Amino acid sequence: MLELKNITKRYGKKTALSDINIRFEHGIYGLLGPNGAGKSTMMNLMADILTPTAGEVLYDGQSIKKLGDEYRAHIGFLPQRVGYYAQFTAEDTLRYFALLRGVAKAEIPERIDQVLREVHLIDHKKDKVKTFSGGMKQRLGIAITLVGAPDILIFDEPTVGLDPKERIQFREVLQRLSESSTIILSTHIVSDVANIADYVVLMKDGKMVGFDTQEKILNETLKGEKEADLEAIYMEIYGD
Amino acid sequence: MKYEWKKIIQNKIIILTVLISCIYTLWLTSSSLSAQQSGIQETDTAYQQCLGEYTAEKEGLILQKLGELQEQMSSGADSGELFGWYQKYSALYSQIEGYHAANEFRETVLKNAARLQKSSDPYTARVNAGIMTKFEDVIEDFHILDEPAAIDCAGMQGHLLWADIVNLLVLILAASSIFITEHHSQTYAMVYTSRDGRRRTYLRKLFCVLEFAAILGILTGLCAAFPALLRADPGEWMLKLRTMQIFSASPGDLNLLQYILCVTAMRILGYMVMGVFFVLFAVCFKNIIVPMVLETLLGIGGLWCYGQFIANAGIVMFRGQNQIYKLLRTVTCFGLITDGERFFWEYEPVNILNIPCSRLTVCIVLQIAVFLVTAMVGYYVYIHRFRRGGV
Repeated sequence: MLELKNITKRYGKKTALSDINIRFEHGIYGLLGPNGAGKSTMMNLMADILTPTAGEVLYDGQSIKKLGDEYRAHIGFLPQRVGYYAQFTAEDTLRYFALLRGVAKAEIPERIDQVLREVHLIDHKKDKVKTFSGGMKQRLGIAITLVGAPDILIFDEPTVGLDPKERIQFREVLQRLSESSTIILSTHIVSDVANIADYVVLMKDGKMVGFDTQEKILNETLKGEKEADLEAIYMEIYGD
Repeated sequence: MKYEWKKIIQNKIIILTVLISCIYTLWLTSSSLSAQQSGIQETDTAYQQCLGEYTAEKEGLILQKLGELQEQMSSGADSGELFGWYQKYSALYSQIEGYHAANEFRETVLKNAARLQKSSDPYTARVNAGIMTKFEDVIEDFHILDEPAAIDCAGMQGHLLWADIVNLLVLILAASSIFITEHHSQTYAMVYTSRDGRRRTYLRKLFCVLEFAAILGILTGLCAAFPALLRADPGEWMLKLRTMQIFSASPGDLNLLQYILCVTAMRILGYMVMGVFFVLFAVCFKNIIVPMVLETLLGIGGLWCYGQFIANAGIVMFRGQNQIYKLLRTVTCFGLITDGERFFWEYEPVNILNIPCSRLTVCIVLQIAVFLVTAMVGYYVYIHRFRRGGV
């Protein structure tokens, strides 16, 4: 269980997040919001890249700052901009990150095959990453996130660069993984959240303006006046 | 660590520069040795009689031959071949001169030490006691060797300033390849959020840079010794340093092979100390330009400036220059890198709380301390540098 408790994050005079309190338990959580809403900052705080200006991030009740390496063994983070070592093959890349994530050496070959099958890249195992298309690179990034078999998956704009078929395949992967992991994803693509998220977190100007199941948010925000639709909610809250 | 090595090796500029450094070092030492060759192919019975274990008769024979050759050359005989033989016998005689100089120096130093041991100053007494220990050994089994290529190699170990500068440039590129390119390739966040993405990754990357530094030092040592290896007799490697004129005042009991190993080890330590500084700069920045400029100024600029002190060491340009030079040799790693041979020239005690410590020992201890502190600071910076602003 991951919890953000009284989290505030400032960059100089700019407040990126203001007094966020939220708890992530089992399921898929979709973070929605425009640019500058604080989604990536929240992702980076949960991934232990940033330190909060105030408040703390807790994993199973313990501060992630104190847990350190132990906390990071439980997370898989896919940042907004994903990079690669161009000269490495897909297999090299996954082996490198599997070692970084503490996967036992004996288990690595099987784990690599497993995650490559999940993202439909098994046929490109021995190919150099520099030969991959944008969509293939993004799928490899997802595979990297999965290779350590983490409890908590944090995806920041994971479907950027994926074509519609790949996006659907990605949603299917997430739904499979949500049975055993907590998944938190931020995206601009409302349909990604609408189709798979159990919970929706609405962010605006560094504050949380809504957090509940999709159904409750739709009912509370629109009160049956319009056709219940997450895109309509998005336009209602964020307007022009 | 295999993957960190892959990140270095995939940078073709690094591999190319290492090759250039090796070729340059080989050329430097080969051309120096080639200048010594006389081109004489025929053997001379008298010459062969002069080689081997030293005797006073052999010394007399060499002097006699030198006199004869000088007379023949000045009487207008074919001077090309005669000059070649003159050089060969001169080379033998210079070995004997070195042998005598070493023994004379030893006797002088021991007499002075014995005389001054009566001093009431405890530090002086300790220095003299140290001298008595260090100069106790007499040069035994001195052999006169044919065209001692290895002796030239001893002198070459310290004259590789530009090869060392190229090596430091390669080390800068290696440190940058391993650390800064994580930002360039946008893999930093993925690595940093892994279980082993902090302490273990820093250590892995740091050890990789240090291994690379060690390989550079070994390659340089091998390339400096290689031309002499091809020409030297096995016996030359056991030749006592003190028989070579530049080392005649040496307090050490090293032979040539031990000396080359020591100088190579010192160079490796110097490269490692510079490497850890380059790592510290690399972890402070996301872009490559600023740390490379700083590393070049510190490492290459510093080494080049130090090299000017060596170049002018025989000339007192301003009062206290020699003191500055000695200070730099003691507190920086530049002396270890490019001036290693000088630590073996003479006994240089440094007064540490009234106890004489050799300058080399003080330098090594200081550099190890600097290395450890810099590595720890680098670790702290690596862990905390981008925690407020993000990557």
